[in-house]
Amino acid sequence: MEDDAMEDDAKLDLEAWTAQEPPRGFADRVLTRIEAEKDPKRALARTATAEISMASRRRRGLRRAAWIGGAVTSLALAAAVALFVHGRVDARGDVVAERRTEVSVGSRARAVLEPGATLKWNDEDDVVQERGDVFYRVERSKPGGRFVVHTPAGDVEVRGTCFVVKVRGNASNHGKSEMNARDLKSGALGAGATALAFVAVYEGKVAVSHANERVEVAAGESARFDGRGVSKSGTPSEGERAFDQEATASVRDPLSAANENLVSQIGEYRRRLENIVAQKAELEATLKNTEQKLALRTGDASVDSKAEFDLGADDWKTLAKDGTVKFMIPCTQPPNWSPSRAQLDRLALAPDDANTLKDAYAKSAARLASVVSPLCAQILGNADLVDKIGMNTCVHLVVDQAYGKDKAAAGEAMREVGEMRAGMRSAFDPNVADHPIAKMFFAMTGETKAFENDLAASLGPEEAHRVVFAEGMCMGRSTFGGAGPREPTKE
Amino acid sequence: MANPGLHAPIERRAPSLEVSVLEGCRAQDPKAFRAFVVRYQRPVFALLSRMLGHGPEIEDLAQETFVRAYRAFPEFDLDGAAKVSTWLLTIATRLALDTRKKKRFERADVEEADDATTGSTPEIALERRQLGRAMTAFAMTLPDEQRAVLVLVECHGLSLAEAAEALEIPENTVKTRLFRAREKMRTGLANEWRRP
Repeated sequence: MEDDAMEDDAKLDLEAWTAQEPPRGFADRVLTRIEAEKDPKRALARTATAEISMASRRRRGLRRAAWIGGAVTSLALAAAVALFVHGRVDARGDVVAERRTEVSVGSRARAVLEPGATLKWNDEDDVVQERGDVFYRVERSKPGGRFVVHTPAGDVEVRGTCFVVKVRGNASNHGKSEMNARDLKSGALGAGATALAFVAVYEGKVAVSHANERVEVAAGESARFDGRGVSKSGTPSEGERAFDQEATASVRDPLSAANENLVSQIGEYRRRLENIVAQKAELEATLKNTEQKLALRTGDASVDSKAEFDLGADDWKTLAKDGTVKFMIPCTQPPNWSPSRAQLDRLALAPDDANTLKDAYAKSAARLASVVSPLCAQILGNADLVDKIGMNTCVHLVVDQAYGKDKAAAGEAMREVGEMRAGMRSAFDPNVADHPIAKMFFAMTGETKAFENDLAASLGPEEAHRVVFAEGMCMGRSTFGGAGPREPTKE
Repeated sequence: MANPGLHAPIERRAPSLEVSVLEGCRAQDPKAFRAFVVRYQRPVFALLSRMLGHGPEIEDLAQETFVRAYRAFPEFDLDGAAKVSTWLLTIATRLALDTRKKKRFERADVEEADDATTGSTPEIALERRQLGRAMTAFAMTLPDEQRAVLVLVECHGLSLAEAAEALEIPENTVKTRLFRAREKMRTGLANEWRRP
């Protein structure tokens, strides 16, 4: 039976169980995400490069492929994947970054805000950056018109590129408590006089405009602009260095600086708190693991203490010589008993094994009662009394009564039980055997295996054997001394 | 402990990456880690989709798996007993189980695998697809803990001890869950199973 089960196991065929395939470009997206944690600018540049590369490959593929319909489909799918990768599309938003924050601006742009930066947008051409540092990537391949970032110092218009905009100065100087795109677009309103901004372009081209002045800044260039106008400032790194020095020296507002420090500190404390929470979870997991290992070890140690009742044919051969009978039977559990979670844990069983255990105990009790109860009732002359005195008392009653009636026959019956278990004689049918001791002890000495078989139907044979002999398993163990070896037959 | 007498795992273990690549991953070298992602992306997607069903969220979780691996790589002992593949699948498994605990996962319909038709007649391919759908649907009815053991041991070839380590449960519990999961799969798919 067990062998059959194992045989069937070997035929378990899960080949057809479908698995989702990784999409193209997955590895690059993982790296982009990792880089985004370290340096969002490089990460976005990497994404752009990867997509340009993909688009290029796609174009080459299109030239080769005659099946235009299929290519169009694949492009649409790629666009869908790209949209998913870039996350949710927000048509409008208002962000004050407490820490480094990445957002979608409309359907074609991504922005990474450094701590202290603010960004507000109502549409793709209504993006307002009041202060701080923001890195943008605007996709040129997507439909849409202008993409304009309005700053207090001027506007930056793009058609698809990667660039960063830095704004210093107090935007509230223009006299309005809440700045909006219209205020900025209407031409600086005098606010630009105290604001200083900078743009560095990594890919593509942007146009920086202030009042009637308009300067184009190409990839690899940068520009600074304020209320007085726009001027190019060399490469992005050169320009950025100069801008930072200028901003620190002249237009840095103490309140803004204090606020930036504060949000930076909040971000730092939040990161520390997250680390502590992660460490706590890790320690809890380690503790749980250690406790489980300890429980398991306790279970293993118990095997030795019960092993003397795990009897084989040779053991029974020895016992049969003097008629000693040993057995281990499941405890009689109260009605409606079910193992607790703690008991199951101690036995290293899963919660859904509770019913298996409960059913096996119930079957065992019924099996033993079907043999012992009639014998006991016969002695007592009253079946109702059997339940009242219980299984253990009944067993002793049967033994005492048999020895009182005929000691030699009782001793012989016990030796025969041992010999049957040793395989020295064929097992008799307990329903036919007439000696009560033989009938009772034959049933009881076979109960461990019967109980184990019931558990094995659900747990498997190895696991069932382990559970039966585990420390946490309630099993009653008994040894009945025999009458001694058979007397030699007289010639 | 080995897992005797079973089918070879579906996700057969391809040759491990060269030690130099793994050392690069430990040093958080992007090129090395990219090679690592490319090598192990299929098993990770397979594990997550079999644990949670198919859907766009699988890529999110796969990304998260690799990001966590990247962060933890400096602590990974290349000379230790744990295989890097087992370690990675452990991260993915715990992530999947956490996800299931936090919310019921929205599952998309199962996409038909391209390789289901490879090298077979249309009839056999259809039969395989039907079996695949039935198997996927039935596997999702298993308790999460049983499905996790089934996926790790049967599909990814982890030993019982490795699965126990991955799931932070005793090895015997792995045995129990595996036995029950197999029983349920066998019973539930008795009519669908294609026997040799």
